[in-house]
Amino acid sequence: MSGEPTPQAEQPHPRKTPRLKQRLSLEALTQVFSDCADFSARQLRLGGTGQVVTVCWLEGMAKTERLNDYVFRPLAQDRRLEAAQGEAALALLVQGTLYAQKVKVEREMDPVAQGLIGGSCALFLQGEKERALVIPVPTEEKRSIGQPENEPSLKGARDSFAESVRTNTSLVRRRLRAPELKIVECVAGRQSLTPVDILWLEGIADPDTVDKVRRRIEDMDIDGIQAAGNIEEYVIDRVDTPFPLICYTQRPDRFCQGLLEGRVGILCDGLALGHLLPGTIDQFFKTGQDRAYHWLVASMLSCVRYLCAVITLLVPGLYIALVTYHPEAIPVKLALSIVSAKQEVPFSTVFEVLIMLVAFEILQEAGLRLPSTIGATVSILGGLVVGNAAVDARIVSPAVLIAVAIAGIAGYTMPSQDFSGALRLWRFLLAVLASLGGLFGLGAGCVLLLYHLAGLETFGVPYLAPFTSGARRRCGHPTVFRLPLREMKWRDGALHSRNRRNQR
Amino acid sequence: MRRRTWLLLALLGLGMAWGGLPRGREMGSMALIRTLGVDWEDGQYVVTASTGRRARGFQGEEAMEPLILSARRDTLSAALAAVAAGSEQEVYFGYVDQLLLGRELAERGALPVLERFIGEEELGLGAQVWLICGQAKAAVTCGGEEGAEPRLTVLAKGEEGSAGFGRTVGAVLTDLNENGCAYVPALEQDQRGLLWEKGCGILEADGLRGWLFGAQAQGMKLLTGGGAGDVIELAGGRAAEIVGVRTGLTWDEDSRTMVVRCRIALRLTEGGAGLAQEEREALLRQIETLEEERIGGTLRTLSNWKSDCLGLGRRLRAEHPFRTGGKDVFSNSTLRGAVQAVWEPSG
Repeated sequence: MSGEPTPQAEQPHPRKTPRLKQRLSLEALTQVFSDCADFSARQLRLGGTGQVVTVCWLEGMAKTERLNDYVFRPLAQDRRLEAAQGEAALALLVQGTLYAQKVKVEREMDPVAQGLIGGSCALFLQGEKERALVIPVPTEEKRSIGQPENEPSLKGARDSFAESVRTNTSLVRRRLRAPELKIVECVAGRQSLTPVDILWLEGIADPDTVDKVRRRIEDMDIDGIQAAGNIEEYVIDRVDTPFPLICYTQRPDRFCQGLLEGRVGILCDGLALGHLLPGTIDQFFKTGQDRAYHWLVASMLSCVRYLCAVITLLVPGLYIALVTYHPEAIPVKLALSIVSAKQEVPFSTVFEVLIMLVAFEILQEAGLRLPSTIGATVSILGGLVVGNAAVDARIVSPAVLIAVAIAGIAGYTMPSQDFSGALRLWRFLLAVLASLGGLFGLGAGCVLLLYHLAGLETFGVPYLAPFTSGARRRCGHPTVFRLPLREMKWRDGALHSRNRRNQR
Repeated sequence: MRRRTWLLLALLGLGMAWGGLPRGREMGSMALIRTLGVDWEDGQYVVTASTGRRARGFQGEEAMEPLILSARRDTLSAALAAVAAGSEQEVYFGYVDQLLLGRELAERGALPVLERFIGEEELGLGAQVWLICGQAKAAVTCGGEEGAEPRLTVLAKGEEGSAGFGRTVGAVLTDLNENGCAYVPALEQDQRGLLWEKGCGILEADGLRGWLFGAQAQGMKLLTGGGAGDVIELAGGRAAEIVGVRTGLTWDEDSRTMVVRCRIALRLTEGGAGLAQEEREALLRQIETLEEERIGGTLRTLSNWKSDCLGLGRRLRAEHPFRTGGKDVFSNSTLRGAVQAVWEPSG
């Protein structure tokens, strides 16, 4: 227990298999869980007077009622067990004396310890070495299925993924009842040992992508998975971009739609969301409601979202470029109003815009970190009171306030917060470039952005696949516009789907 | 490695291009010049600039009266620089929409002023150019608190009874370059100082060829396809408004006559009630005769001056390259105007 690091601490993270090398026994198990306050064990005699058995479990992980009713009661009261000894007793227990959906005989320490952590109890017969029965009696204390708070639904399903991976797979299974829905479970995280499920539709999803995803999850050698980023950053190809390369959703219906399109899904225990990949840029402009609305309305809303992405990205930079470098491009009346409003403001336009952008980020962050009721107050105080006071005091010009507010509000239309965050980051960069070179700088920034986006790829699929021919496969249907569903007969070719036709 | 090289080259190119960028300026400290007047007085350029009435801000700031700046120097550049230097604010010429040229300057030659709009970074070729039958300075300073700009905009756009005869600096320079002369609308001030249309002047590279006033100016408008909105006063208290004009050019090789055909669509605005069809037809003939006289007068004057400011010769050479013969087709041809007047179908 000394504070000095062991020589192994300096070594590259070595993976131990098996994790527990002790031979299986009650004493060894007790040793493994020493200093664990939740470890419990109880001795009793089979049938009340027979062979001594010890049942071990972890409090909180195993459900007390199940343990009592399905394990202790039959052990103590079943008269058939009274006379049974050794192998015969074990056979009786496995074959049905215990009221459990499965009883497994284990001979290694690892699965027994894992079983206890997973909510099972371990049963040791006195005198039986290197054998234990593992009986699942897990507790079901978990958050119930709620509404998707980040992706509200007006016309459609209102259930949301929960933190339990098994609950989540059941939500998917209820929507995709085909046996072709495959679910493979990997365990990731050395200390967290988190179950991570990979889901795909066989015959539709690209098997190569499935293999790659599986390999990457299995290759993850980290301490634990506690955040969505733990999955995202280890699975995707590149981390040198702020743009999300993997799409996530809280909504099972949207997740299932992704699987139907030929994507591969990841569900991770402890995360109330599902990931879909490969991620292409169009995914971040889609909502779960797009297929629920009339196609004309959905197309219009989609166009608005793309337009808002351009607005949020360019408006601050465009304002700086026009006001500072190219005032002749501003309509006369607007120019006169800007001149008049800006006369008493002591700061340069560039400084004003950048300060307002930073202030906007601060307000947003403050609103997010506080409880919702106080957060709303902060937003009102910051947005209205401070903003208005700043304009009244001639600290910022109203035109700057309007430009930054328009850009900020337009950014909120993005269905993906990750994508919105990337746009915010690039907005700063474009504003700085515009302040250095006007429209030329802004144009150069846009070219740089396109160059960056064009270079992104996930699992062999270009990020801009819906808009480019980089994938060298036909696009399924228009990306910005949503056609009537009857016309959307093809899956997107860029995803390398095995079966491109999705309807007659 | 190769990708990195390209990236470096791109960055290098970007850096070089960056060097040629305009410098950034703050709009809050700018005075936006809207109207620029240039005169020639006693061997010097007199430049007068006006901002026009400056707008209220976004929060209802007080609107400010026009800022009028004037300077007199031997050269145009020095005069413009002196105008800019004479203000407390940074003078910005990027919003000059109206350029007024005084009579003396036009007679001496306005080309240096117009060419200044090509060379100057802030001045644009889209500015309206006017000849003033008098001093440009007086015209710039007229209009009181509003400045001259609103009135000039009305005259250029053809609103409120004006026929809209505006020409841009770019168009005038193009005509000067291609035709050797250009027509420029002329204005004069009345006793109250208000600006009114007053025909047009024919500019040549080295001076003013002459003025077209009255009927000749009307004819010029029709020849340029303008004149919509003009009212023709007829006998018996009747009036017809021109609602559309279309012109075309034909060439009679035998008589070496250039015929400018003009189709005028009209609407009877006064005294039309109860008129029989024959009477309406008679009115049309009357208008045709009147307008043919106007057009004919204009063409005769232009022919006498040998000023093909409408580019008729050039157009004809383009249409009939082997039949018109030589560059001097305009000077060596007879010019005639033919007018067809029609009533615009009602409803």
